[in-house]
Amino acid sequence: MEAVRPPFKALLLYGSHARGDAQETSDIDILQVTPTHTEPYAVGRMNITCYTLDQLLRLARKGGLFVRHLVEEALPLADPHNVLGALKSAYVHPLDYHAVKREVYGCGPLLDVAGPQFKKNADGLSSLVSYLIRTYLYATAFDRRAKSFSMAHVLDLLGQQRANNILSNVRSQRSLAAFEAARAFFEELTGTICQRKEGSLEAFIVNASAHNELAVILGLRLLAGGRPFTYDALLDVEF
Amino acid sequence: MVEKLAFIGDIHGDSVRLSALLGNIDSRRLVFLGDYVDHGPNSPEVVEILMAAASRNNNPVFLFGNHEVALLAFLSGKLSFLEYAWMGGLSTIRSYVGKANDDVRSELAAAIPASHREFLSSCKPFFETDQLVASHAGINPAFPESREFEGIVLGRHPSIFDSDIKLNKLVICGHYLQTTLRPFAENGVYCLNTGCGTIEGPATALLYPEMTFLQA
Repeated sequence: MEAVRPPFKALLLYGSHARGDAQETSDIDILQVTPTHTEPYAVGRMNITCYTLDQLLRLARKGGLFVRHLVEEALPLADPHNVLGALKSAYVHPLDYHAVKREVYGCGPLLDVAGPQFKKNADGLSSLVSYLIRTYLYATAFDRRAKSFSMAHVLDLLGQQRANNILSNVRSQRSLAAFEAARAFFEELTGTICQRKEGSLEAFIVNASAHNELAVILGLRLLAGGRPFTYDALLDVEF
Repeated sequence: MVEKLAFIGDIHGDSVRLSALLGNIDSRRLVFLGDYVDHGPNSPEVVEILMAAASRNNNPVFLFGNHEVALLAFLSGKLSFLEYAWMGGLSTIRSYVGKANDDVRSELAAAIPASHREFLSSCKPFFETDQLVASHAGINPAFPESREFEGIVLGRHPSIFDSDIKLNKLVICGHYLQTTLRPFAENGVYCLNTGCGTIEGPATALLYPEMTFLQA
């Protein structure tokens, strides 16, 4: 608790430590509900993700996977205003995750980079391919009645155990080889080819903005490179 | 005799609501409070409607919003693609360019008609009479006499909504999103950004001197 940077409205533990299936090497995932936009940060093995309550409620009403994760598995570390209860009340269970999967495989062209481009943003691209694979796996698994967000359970259910190594490599190595292996797995998983028709990432983002909000947000994050730009920023852009 | 005016809040690319609103206003002089482009689906059509109003109406006033400034800054290379996209410019680019291919800035510059660029560049920072001042971002209550562009077009002055605010003129602005979809009207401060083109809110007009609202 001392590691958390105030202020916060609530602190929720989620992921393997909340489910009780953590291993020695597992990270500790914490959601910090903040009054204003705040960048995520890490302290040792703790990954602290920050959202405002408004953002979470909006995602809850859209039936987002992240809020489902919280609603089904999170444990309050500090929740004096009952944020978790509010999320549970607001959460709308989607009929299926087809739309999520469509958005995710529509992001494939974001991964169409060659070696020199990869080196400019190895961290961003490694995180991106990992995020896309994990989201696609979760969406597919919940369409097949998965019981929890445990990745081991999801991979068992889908018969995709080899994703474990692929995700672990891309996360720990941040190398071009690990990225390319993960991209190939993503293509196989989704049945798409990660090829961008447009000559620039900017042009892809413009075209994607007609139908794929996720591709816009992730594309802009890639463009931002190391500079601060988060999903939340676009959601709550000032009009 | 006081001149009859209609102040019109943020439009943000929603040409349908703009047309409907204009159809409900009588022949009085129009004062548009800026933010004609970005976010909504049809910024080019909005600019066309405004240009048509300019030729029909009795000397209408078109004020700058921060989004007109952003579009012009993106075109001239002063604002990056990332910054303009972050502000809601993607829909504007798409609606002018259609399908983007490569260099988005050049493609937009080639696609946007010169008349639109001239129209946007010719907007004014504020409109003022003895009784009122109108600008996109209102005025800074700490410096109520200041008419500096950065303050009254690009600034942000949430303290004008304070309940104990005392100003020596009516202040009429847009910019500050009223999530209730109703205009703000207290203590001589009027804010007409009711979410048109952004959160599917109506376009709003304030009729002066009656101080009544129209929405469409």
